[in-house]
Amino acid sequence: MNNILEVGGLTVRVKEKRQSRTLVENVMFSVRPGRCLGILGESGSGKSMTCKAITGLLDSSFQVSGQALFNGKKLIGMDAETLRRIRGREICMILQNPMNCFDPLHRMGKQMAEGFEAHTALPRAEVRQKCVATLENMRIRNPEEVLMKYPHQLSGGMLQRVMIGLALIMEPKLIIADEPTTAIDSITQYSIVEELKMIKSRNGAAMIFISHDLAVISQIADEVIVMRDAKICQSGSVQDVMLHPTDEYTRFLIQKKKAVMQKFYQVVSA
Amino acid sequence: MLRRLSKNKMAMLCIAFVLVIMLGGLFAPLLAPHSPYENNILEKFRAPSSEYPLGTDNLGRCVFSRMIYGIRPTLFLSFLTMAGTMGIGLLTGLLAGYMKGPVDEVIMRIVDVMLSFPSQIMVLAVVALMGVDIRNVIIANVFIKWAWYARMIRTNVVKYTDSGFILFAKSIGHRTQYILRHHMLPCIASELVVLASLDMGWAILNISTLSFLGLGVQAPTPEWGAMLSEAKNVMTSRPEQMLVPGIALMLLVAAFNMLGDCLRDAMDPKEARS
Amino acid sequence: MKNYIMKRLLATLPLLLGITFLCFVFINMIPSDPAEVALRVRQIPIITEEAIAEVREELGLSDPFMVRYVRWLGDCLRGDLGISYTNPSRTVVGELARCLPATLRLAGMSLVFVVLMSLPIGILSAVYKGSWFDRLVRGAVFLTTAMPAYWVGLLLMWLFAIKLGLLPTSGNGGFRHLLMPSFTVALTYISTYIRLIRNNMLENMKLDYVLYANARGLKQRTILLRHILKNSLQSCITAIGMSIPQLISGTIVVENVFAWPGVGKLCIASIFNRDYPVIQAYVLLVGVLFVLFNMVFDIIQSAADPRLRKGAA
Repeated sequence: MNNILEVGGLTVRVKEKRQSRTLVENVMFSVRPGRCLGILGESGSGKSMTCKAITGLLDSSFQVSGQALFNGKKLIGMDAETLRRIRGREICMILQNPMNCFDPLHRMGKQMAEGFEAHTALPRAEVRQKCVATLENMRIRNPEEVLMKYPHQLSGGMLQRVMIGLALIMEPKLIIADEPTTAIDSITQYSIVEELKMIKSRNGAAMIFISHDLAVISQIADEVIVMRDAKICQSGSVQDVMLHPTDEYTRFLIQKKKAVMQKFYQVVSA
Repeated sequence: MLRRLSKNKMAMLCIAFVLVIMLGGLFAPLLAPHSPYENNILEKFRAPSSEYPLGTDNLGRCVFSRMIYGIRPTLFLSFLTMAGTMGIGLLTGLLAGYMKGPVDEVIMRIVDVMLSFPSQIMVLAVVALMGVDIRNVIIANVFIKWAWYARMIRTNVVKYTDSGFILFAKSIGHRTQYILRHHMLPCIASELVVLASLDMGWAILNISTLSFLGLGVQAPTPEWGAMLSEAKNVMTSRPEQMLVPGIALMLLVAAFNMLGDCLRDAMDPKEARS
Repeated sequence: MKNYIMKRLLATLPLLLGITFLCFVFINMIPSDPAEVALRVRQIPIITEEAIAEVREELGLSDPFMVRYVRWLGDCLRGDLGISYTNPSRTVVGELARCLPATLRLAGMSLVFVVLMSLPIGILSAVYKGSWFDRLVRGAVFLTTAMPAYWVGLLLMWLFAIKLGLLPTSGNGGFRHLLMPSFTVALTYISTYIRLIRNNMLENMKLDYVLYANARGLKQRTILLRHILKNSLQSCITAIGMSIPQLISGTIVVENVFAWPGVGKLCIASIFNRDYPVIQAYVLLVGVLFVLFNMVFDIIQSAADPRLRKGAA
């Protein structure tokens, strides 16, 4: 199986007041179709920045260098219009804080239709059908009603599902999920992770899952890279990294998790 | 904060400019070549020369001397206005924000009513009622603007009232006066300085406008706004008379505004990087 | 929605009362004696102490403060704002009505200038942030806010009327007379609004929904026009609405410079003539307008923002 995404030597620098700061340094990884790569790290480690740099979402104050091959095409340095057509069609993203990701002044139906209008030339009736299908795929009840609502009238979990649905309906080759469970309550978190696991097995798309939560990543990812201070400190399969953490930081994370789980079992079985 | 400010070249330039002007006004008798009141019709509208550095006006008075002497009413009155406005605004804002409850409600209602009037109108109304006099000009300006500062300061005070160290001070029994003076003031001091700087600009413009309309400083006292009013009368024949006072006003107000902006940037925590 | 309107109306009433009260307090600080003035109005040749006392009784001037206030308020609501001191044959309301249309024309044209100039410049300045255009605009805005309005008016007058002879210097005539004064009034507000719109747009551009729209691959133009612009203007509505009464009151100085026969010029003349009823009526009028416009535009803004409307899930 060929890699759908190959990233090498990715470096992101930002210019701040005559000084240059490195946010991502020499990052290298690859993703295969049907597999999920987890990117683990705490806030500020550069994990979100990596994916934003690849998809061209950073503005001109950032300097991106290195290589990112998507299906053989070079993403870094690509012209804006071609990149725009790939975004939302072949590479779809799911972001954190779904409450803030939709325009508060427009109804959901209108915003969902925009994606189709930007990438397809479908007539309005078909676009509406697709929007309804998006919601039905996510098992959202009363899709017609939801389309008429404003974003602030829906819950965070619901909006997250809408985002996932929008990411899927275009049948992309790569799905990038940036902390999709962080701003959600834990019960909904569980159902969303289950959702994503099903997607992985069903669609055959490649997935990148970014999170600071070791537990969530260990559930869904096949391979994982651990990032810290803009660099990768360990990479490998999930089992490998969990059982044989070579890096001090990774060890620290896993130990903490084990400690919590042990305490949990202690309390529950007592 | 002062350290950060000193690194900002623009701010230093503005402070230097303002200081130069202030000193110019203070030492006016030493710097001005002629008396600002001395008129000599024979010398009217002379071009700039070594005797009259900026030429003369319609009554043969030295423009340069009038400009230097004019610094005094312009800056001094504005400063008084600003001090009065900030003083009353600070007091009421502190009380309203710190005491909360009924004191806060009453003060804020009064502030709302005061803010409902456009400031220009109110100043004119007060001057109209109390007579055309420099003192009334200052009183009018203070009467209008204090409400604006009261509200801003109150917002800041409310932000800090519930902070840890104030609560601690309260819990160990410090008197209110002491808390306000030793703890609260330093907190809002930086915000105050920004407001003061911006207010100077506003006060200078306002006082010069009133003088221009004939409601502020009266002739023959030299004041930049009043000088523009006289220049208006000879606009067709001698338009250049309008230039010097106008440009001077613009530069002085711009300096204060820029200073205020730089101060605000220096205070911004997002910019804080040692 | 109706609840919100009712609440807003109720909140505004005490404010209006406060304003009228303040105006009434002003009147009572006037140095001249209304009884004496009334006698002069009636053209009674010899003014004696008894005559003054009689008139005072007649006009109810020795009644307690609050009684007089309520009576005055009643008069105002009926449209009777008194008689001009300088011109006893004219009523205050009449004087205001005579001069108001000219001021309204001036303010209206200024509003047109403000909207036509600040919107495009502000938007372009935000979209092309950091470019030479942006820096030029910000420099110009900075200098303009430091300039006294009347000085700008004088300079414009000299340039266009005297030097170039394109426009008339003063007076109220046709459209050509209107251009310079309205532009001068508009100038201060244009700078303020350019800054406001630019800041609003820049703030909105940093928000998550713009990031997500970009991630979905929407065209830049769509994002800009349909989302960023709408959100930015949304927050400007109240500010722009409030500029209407501000423009009306801001015409005072410009009317003076350009000899424009509006309410502002009337006000200044009244100050010099000590025609107190006119001054007081003008202040009252503008204060009430301010409060009313504030309320109306507050309501419009909340109606336009679905988050503030009733009916959340």
